[in-house]
Amino acid sequence: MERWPGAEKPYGINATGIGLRHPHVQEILETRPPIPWFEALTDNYLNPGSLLAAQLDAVSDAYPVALHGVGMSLGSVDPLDRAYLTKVKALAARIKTPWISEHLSFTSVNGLYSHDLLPLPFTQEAVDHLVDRIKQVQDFFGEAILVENATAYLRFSSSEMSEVEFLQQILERADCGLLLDLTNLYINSVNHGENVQDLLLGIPLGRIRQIHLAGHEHKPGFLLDAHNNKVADPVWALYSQIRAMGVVAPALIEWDSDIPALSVLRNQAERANQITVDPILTAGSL
Amino acid sequence: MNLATHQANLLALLLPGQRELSDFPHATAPGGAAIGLGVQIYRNNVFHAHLNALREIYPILLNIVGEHYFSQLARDYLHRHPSNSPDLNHYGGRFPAYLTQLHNERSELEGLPYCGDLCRLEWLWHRAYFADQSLPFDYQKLQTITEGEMPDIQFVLASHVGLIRSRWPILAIWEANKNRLETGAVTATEEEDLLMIDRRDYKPTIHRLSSSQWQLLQQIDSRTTLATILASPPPDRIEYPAENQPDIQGLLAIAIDNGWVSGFRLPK
Repeated sequence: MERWPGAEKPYGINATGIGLRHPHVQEILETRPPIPWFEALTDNYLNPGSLLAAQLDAVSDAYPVALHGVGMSLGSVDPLDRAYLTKVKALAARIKTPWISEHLSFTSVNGLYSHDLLPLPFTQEAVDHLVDRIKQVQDFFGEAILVENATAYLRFSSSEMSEVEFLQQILERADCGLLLDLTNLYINSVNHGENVQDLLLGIPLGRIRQIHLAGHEHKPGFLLDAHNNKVADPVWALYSQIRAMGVVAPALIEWDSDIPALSVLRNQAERANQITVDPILTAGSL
Repeated sequence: MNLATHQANLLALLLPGQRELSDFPHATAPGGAAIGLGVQIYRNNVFHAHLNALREIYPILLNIVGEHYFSQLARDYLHRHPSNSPDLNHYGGRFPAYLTQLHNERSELEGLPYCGDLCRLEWLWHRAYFADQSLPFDYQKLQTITEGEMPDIQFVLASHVGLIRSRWPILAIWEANKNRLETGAVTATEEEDLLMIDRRDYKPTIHRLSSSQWQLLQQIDSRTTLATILASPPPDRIEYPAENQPDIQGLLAIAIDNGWVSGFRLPK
C-alpha cells in the first residue's frame, strides 16, 4: 500500500524509540535529544486546535512520530466510527506519520465506550470480524496498519484456538503488520499459565513491524500491564530472543504512569539498542 | 455465545451497577482463578479511566469536595451517564447538569448550591482548551454582503468562546480554589456573574463581561440577526450613565477584533 503523502523523511527508525509523553515535550523541543523516533498516543491529539496538538506538530517537524491508538475499537460489533477515523487520518497526514497502530480488542459496544482494551474470545467469528474491520480501516486510510497483541485478564471457554493461531489468521488474512508487545505476551503467559515460548515461536516473524517494551507491576495473584516502571528482566530476555531470531523491526519504550525523567527512558532505549546490536551476548549478561 | 452477546455482556459487567458475574459462566481469570478477579481488574481500569478524565476537567470541584467524595460522584455519574464517544475529552459534558440535579437530591451537597454552575465554568474552560482554531474573521466576505442582506446576517462565535451566567460568585470561587485559598461562606450575589471563556495562545482565560457585552455575545450565540441586535434595548442593569451607553456596533467591532466572533452566516 502507499505511504502517507509526504512521509518520505529519512526516518532512521531502526533504533529504539520512546513513547511521547506530555511531561517531556518541552525538554524535547528545547534540547532536541538524539532520539530516533517517537510514538504518540493518537487519541490525545485528535483536536487540532489544542496546545497538545501544536506541540505534537512541533515534535513531528523534527522527528518521525508513529501513531498508536486505543479508540478505534477494532474488535467491536458496532459499525466503525467514520468521524473518528477521519480525525485519525487527518492527524496522520498532518504529522506525516510513518504508520498507525491499534489494538486487537474492543473498547465499545452498543454505542457505549469503556475506554479500556477489552478482551475478545479467540473464535473464528472474532477472526472473521477483525479481518473485515482491519481491511475496512486500511482501505479508508489507503495504508496498512499495525495491530497489537493485547493484554487479557480473562480467558473464555468459547475460544476455539490459541492466541497465536488467532494472531496468525488475522495478520495473514488482513495483510497487516504486527506491533508485537512483548510485555503483553509475557503478562498473558504468566497470568494464564501459558507457555511463552509457544506464543513467541508461533508468531509470524515476517509480520512484525514494531515491538513494544514496557514495565509491569506484580499484584496479588496476577501481573498488571501498568506501564509504570522499567522493563523487567524476563521481558528483556524475550526481546533478546526475538532479536536473535532475526527480527529487525524497531522497538519502543512505553511508560504511561509515574512517568520518570526523559533520561530514564533514554537509558531503557539504550539497553534495547545494545540488545538489538548483539542479542546473544547481551542476553547472556541479563 | 456469539461475539455481539459476548461484548454486550462483558461491557455491562464492567460498568457500575449493571450485571452480575453469572452472565459469564465460562471465563477464567489469571492463575485459573474464577472470573471475579479478571472482572475486578477491568472494572478498576474502566472506572479509573473515567475518574481521571473527570479529575482533569473538574479540578476545582475536586479541590472543594475532596478525593473520596469526588470518586463517589464519578462512580455514580458513570453509572448514570456512560461514555458515548471514543474521545475521552468529550466525556463529562453532562456532569454540571448531573450535579445541579444531585444538589436537589443529596443533603451533603446542601452547602454547595453553586456546584453545578462552577462545573459548567470548568467544562467551558476544558472545551475552550480543546476547541478547533477558528479562522480569522473574513472582512472581505462581509463586504460582499449587500445592503439589503445585511440586516439578516447572523454572526458566529468562535468555537473556543463560552458564555456562562450565575447568581453565585463562581469566578471568585474558581480563582480562590485555583490558588488554594479559603473561600469562606458563599452567598448569592446581587448581580449575576456574567462570564466569557476565551483562549489566547492556546490557554483558556476567563473574563467578566459588562451586561451590554453579555447581551451582545448571548444574542450572537443564539443566532440573533444583526437587525434585531441593533434594535435591542440596552440591558436593565445600570452600568453606565444614560448619556454613555455603549455603542453596540462598537462592541461588535471589539468582539470581532478580539477573535470572539469568527464569522457570519446569511440564513436562506
